[in-house]
Amino acid sequence: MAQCVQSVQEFLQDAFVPLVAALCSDEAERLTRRNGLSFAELVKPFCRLTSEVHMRDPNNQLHIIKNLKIAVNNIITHPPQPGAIRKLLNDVVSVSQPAEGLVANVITAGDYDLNISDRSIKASVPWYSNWKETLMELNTSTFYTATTPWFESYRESFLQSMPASDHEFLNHYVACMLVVSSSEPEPVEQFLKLSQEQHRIQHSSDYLYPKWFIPNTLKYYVLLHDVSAGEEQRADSIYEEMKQRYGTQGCYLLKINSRVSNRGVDEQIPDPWSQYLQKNSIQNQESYEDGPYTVISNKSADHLISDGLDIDIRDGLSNNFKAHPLQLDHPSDTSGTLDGTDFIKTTPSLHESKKSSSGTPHGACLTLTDHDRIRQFIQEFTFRGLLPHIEKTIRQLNDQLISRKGLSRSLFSATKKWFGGGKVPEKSINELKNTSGLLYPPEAPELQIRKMADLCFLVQHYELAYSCYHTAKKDFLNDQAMFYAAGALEMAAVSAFLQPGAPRPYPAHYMDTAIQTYRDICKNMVLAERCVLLSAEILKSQSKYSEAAALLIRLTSEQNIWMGMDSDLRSALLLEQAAHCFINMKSPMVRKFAFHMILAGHRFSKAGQKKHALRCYCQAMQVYKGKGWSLAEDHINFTIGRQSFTLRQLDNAVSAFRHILINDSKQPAAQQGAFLREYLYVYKNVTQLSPDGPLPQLPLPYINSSATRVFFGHNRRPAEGEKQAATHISLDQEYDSESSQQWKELEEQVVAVANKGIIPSNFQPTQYCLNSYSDNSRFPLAVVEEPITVEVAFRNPLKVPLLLTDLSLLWKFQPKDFNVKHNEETKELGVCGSDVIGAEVIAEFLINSEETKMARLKLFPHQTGELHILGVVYNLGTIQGSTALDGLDPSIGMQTGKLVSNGLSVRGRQDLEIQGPRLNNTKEEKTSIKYGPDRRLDPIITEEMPLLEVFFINFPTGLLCGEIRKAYVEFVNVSKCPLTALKVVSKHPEFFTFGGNTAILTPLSPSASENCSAYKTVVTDSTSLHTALLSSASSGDFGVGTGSQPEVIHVPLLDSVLLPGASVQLPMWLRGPDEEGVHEINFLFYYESIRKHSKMCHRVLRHTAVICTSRSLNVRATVSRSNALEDEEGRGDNMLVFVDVENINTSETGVKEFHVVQVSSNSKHWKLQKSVKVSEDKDTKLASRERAKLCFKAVRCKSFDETYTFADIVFGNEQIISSASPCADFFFRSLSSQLKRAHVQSNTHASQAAAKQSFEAVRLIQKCSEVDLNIVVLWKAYVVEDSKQLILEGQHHVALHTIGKEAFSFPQKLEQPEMVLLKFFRPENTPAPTRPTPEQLSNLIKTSLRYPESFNHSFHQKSLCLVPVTLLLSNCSQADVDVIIDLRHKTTSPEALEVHGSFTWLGQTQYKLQLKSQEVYSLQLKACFVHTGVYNLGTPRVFAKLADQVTLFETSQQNSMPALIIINNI
Amino acid sequence: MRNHLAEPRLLERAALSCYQPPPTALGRTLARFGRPPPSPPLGRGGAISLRRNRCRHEITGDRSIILKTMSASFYFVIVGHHDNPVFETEWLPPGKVESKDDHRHLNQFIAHAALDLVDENMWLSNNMYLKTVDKFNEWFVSAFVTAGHMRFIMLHDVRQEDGIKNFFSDVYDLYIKFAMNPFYEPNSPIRSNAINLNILFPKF
Repeated sequence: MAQCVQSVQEFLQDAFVPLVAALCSDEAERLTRRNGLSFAELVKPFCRLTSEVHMRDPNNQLHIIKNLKIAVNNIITHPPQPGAIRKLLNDVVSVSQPAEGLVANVITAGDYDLNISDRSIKASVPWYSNWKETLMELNTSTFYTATTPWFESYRESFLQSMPASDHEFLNHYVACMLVVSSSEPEPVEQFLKLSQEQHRIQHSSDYLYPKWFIPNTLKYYVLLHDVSAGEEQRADSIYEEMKQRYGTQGCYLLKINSRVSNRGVDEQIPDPWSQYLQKNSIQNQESYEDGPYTVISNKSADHLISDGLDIDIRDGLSNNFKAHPLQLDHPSDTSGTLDGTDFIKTTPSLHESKKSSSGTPHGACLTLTDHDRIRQFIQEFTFRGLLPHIEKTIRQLNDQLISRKGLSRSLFSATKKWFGGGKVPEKSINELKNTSGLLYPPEAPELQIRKMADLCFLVQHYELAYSCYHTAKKDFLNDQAMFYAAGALEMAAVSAFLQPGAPRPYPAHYMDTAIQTYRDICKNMVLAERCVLLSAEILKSQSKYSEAAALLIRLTSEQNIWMGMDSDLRSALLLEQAAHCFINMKSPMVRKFAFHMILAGHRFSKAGQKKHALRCYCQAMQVYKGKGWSLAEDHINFTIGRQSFTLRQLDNAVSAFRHILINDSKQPAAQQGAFLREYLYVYKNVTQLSPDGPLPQLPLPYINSSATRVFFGHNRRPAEGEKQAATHISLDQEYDSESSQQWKELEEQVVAVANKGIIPSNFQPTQYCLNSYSDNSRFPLAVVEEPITVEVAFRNPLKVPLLLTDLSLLWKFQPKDFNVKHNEETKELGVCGSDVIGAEVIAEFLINSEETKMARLKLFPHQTGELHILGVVYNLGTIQGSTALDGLDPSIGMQTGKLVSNGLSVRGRQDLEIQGPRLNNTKEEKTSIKYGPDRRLDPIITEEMPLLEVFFINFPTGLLCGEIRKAYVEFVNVSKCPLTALKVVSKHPEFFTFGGNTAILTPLSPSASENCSAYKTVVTDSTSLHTALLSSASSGDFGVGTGSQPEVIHVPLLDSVLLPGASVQLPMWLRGPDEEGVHEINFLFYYESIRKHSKMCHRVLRHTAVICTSRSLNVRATVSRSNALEDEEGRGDNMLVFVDVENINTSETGVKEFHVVQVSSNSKHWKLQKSVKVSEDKDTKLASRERAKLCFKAVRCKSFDETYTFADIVFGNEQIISSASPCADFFFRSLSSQLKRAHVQSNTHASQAAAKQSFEAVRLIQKCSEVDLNIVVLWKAYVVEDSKQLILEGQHHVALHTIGKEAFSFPQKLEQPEMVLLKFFRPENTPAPTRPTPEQLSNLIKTSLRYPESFNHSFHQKSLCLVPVTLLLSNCSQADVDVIIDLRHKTTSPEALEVHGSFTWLGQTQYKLQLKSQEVYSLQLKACFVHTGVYNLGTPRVFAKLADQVTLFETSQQNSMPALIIINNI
Repeated sequence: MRNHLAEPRLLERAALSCYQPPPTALGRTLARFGRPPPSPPLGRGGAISLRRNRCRHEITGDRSIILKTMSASFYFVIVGHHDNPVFETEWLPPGKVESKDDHRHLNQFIAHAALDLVDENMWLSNNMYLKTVDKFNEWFVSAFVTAGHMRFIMLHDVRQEDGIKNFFSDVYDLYIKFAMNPFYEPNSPIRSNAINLNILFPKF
């Protein structure tokens, strides 16, 4: 329970004070009214005695009374109405509010910080880890206390407004003051009148109320004298008369109003009434409770004051004191409830009059001496009048009781025994219910003892009071008068507690029984409540907080309504007190506190105490906040929001509702919808209050700011018929880090080419689409007059759909001219329809429940400058019938464009704040958490740039491998700037060509090229069949080999400028990639403006072509050295080329057959000479899975630098000029890509073997087995498609490098071993081939023997047969070679043994020669045979070594072929 | 504070090592984890099938009481060290679902308020199961405190001591297994379906 200002003893004493009635004449009332006070009010501040009083108890013991307080009340002849009491209590509570603006100190303990209005509570959870510390803290800390003044006011008012009851005498009047003014003409008469009046009120049966303690009430006669107005002598003389009449102890002369009313001096006088002001008003209300009557009296009083005195009226008025109340009260009594409403209607006017009167200070006519006089008066009254009276009464009662006790009691019990037949069994309370109605007559002896007890209690004689109460309790219980017994029990408990020195413990069970009896049997909740209040306070003082809390809670669980007075206010207050009890426990029960605060708040709100309800909920919120009890939190927030709203604390309401919405709500959809509507409604009110204020920040929907994407440029135009626009980039594409890296590389390549091989230091890849993956550390560049699209990711966390209307971007713009150095700075905030920046507005944007949806918002900058996109602005609303929406397809709503908004929407904004990437480069950044900037939303608007659009016409989607197709590209400049330096870059330059310099002859428009071969052809005559037709071209003509970047291709524009609005169509040949499958080929078009800008140097356009290729031909080729040394020209170098063509098409595409129409060679050193005819077919036809073998002879041709010789061998009647576009283009492209591949490979080799000294030699030797012959196989495929026959053309390339090694038209797939053993040691350096392999060496020198195949010799004539043999040695290498020829016969091989017989070489057996490069040397030898037979002449062993090398590589040049000679005998 | 937080986890681990569930119970729970039985709808059918599984327990006598689930409603919450709900579920008899919907927050309030008494009572008892610690209107609040100081709170409107005790120990079993998951941070809300207490509920 909250701490009170009073101590318990004070509280209990003040709860029960001797009541004194005051009966004033009208004139006396008028005197006091001059001070704005009634008589009762006038004396009120002085009702507590400052000095001790002595009194004698019945045993003549001296008893000291300390701090006695009496209460003087005006006589009210009507018991207070319950409704009126309720209203009064309500007002008292609502007026008393915690002081605002107090600095609350928060103390942290345990897990909770509590901040309860004017104090902070130490609270802790007894959690094992800090259990001990908390206890220590609690022991050592001084407890601050929370005061709840509203509760105290309530309690005081409650106790004071308690109607007098028959079963107790505590609030019965003990005495009556009769007050008459000295200014009256006949004061003594007036006294008599009043005395009669009092007698009538007490003894007439007409008045049941008020109640009087004893029949002969003490009357005290008070003469009021107005010092300022009346004559003092008269007053004195009247007083003398009174003294004679009533004795000195029965009357008093009170002089007041000694000050002449003067405002100027007022301030000095202390106003003791001010602290009673509150209570005064209560008292007044209490006195006015019988509404209509007091209104009249008040009015008449006003009349009196204004009109002056009129005796007749006054008399009537004084009569009205007796007569009118009844007349007026009776109808109101009968009308019952009507009275309450009447009262409610009338009190405000009273209130106002009160207020107006309270505006003037009280006691305006009183001086300090007057204050002292009043104090003196009360003291005198108490000492001389009241206490002796009480003392006398106690004595009388005591005597009565003693005399009566033995007799009546014994008699009574005896008769009981006699007739009841033994002991009365203890009955349970329930059984006693029916006896509760038992009423004692007012003079019953049982009541006398109670009366005495009460009197003793009032004069603080608690021991005596206790014993009396105890006796009375026994009597009542014996009589089973439970109502009386409960009262006795209650007071017995209180007096037991109040006994000085506390000889016995506080009997809490007495209280419990009393409460139970009051509540359950008597159904008297008011008395039960009084009991609870008293008991709880006592228990609290004994630190029995849990008992107190239990007591308080028990009363509140009573849901019933008592006598039309619902218990909400009481329950609320008691629950709050219980909550405070929990927090004051030794180990504070914070969570219980919170729960009961919630309950109290709930009751407060039911009782209409909004402020208190709000306060309770707010205090409880501190405990629940952030713990995850979401439903509870939502409930609290919702209530706080509602109450704040009704109290017009709109900001609080908004933030509370905001909490409900933004937390992950577990509420059902309907509930969320309600929350949302409520929130919108409140928000709307807020915005209506301040329409010009800044736009509020809306909490919904969530924005995932990091998912924001920004796109610069127009949307892609859709394909038009055959035209297919470049895919470029759009927001629809997903981010792919691999491809973006690829694009970046491509751009770097093209920029490097454009800047003559160097990438400028400030180069930054163009980013058209910024997202969380892109590099956003720089300000992006946007071009004026081109749209900027911002994609915002909204997420709706609720289960109800959200409708955003008039959604647009919010921006700030700073115009700047980038060409002029100085910048004028003007700032503007985004408004729609501005001519600086145009903003697109989305009229309706619906986000379904728990949906994530992107909104694309556009801005159109019309000026250069710096743009900052700040956020989005929209109206937040919801749609009607949110619960019914589940069935409704939202897309339908979107289509019709008529989403029924329920009219509730608020305009607000949400900012887009994007956190940059976490920095992690320097040590400092690594150790701290720092984020880089993200400038996605701060584009710089630059000047105009050209804008290119690229369309592809007749662009195929499917090709055969190697197929050549002609397509057209259209370049359109859609901007107002001419563009230049158009280039295209691709990772696959071999895929396409724009044609070389020779391409001008081909038709330029796509329509003209239909049904026309992609190749340039010439009709040939049949005679040239199978022989090569020669032409030559250099790679430079085809745009290949211009530096190290073969990927970058210049687009051959006319004048290399594309004017604004102009469009150019260019032919483009495509060749299907060699591998089957789906290929994605990226093109990056690069272009520049003619005028150079500082900000933006170039622009790019992306295109991704998707080509699906299917298998066509597989070409394999080998080249081998021809054994025939001499050819037509007598040259020693000729080779045989075998080409294997296989149709590997799986004929699903309707390809009927392939025809090889031409085979061309191109090489710098070699050319195909003629076809070695194998079959008789005119051209080579290949059906599915067929394979053809072609054989050609190749010869060395004269070579010029960088000039390739093209040799075409035509199988049909049309020669395709292979040295023209596109055939040559693709050839060169494939060549360069091969070269690149080879370059990469050799690089890796070189790194290993570069150090070897012998490497050069090996290279030389290797070189002689190398050729650089490229074979192009041109084919036609007959395809049936849609019952139409199509002829497709294509070409395959085979590059032959090494003699004897098979080469393929498509790159061989390297079979990756599935798993490689991980090696944990360093791999040994595989030694570079220091020795050339024998195979390689054998290619160094080509040998051939010339001899007659058969030789006839007559061995009869000559036994020795001499055969001349010529050994031709041909040096294949480029270097000088030393050759050693050893003719000495050595049979090394076993097969040589089998040769029958042997022969010998005659003459020189060993030759040493040096052959220059390419030299052919013939050596004349003689072989000698002695028998006929077949001999192998290939026995000469040839050793060769490079001339300038040591003998290291000397190796035999074995002749692989046996050279057989037949020797015949003639 | 961090050290204090580590402590309960260790305690939980220790508890696991000494906690020996009856072998049959373990087997059944493992079976539930390994091969989830076709989770029965919360009607009578489910209760019957589970009862069949449990017949062995009924012989031993510790599960002989089968509560009437049709009339009672329950609210169960695991409360973490910072008074935060870690896991919540409620089980209402079929007819009552709609009517209770707007009072769901009351369950939380009651459970939360009972924590004070749980914290008080746990030092007075040697058992993990604290029986009924609090009562509010028609609700009884039973509690169970694990070795790691996780508090299991059960709100029920029918007194069913044995059933709730068994339920708590089964949940404890499940909870320990769940807490052993290295990816589960203690005290954080359990969102996994692994603890599907609806399977356990029909046990009452």
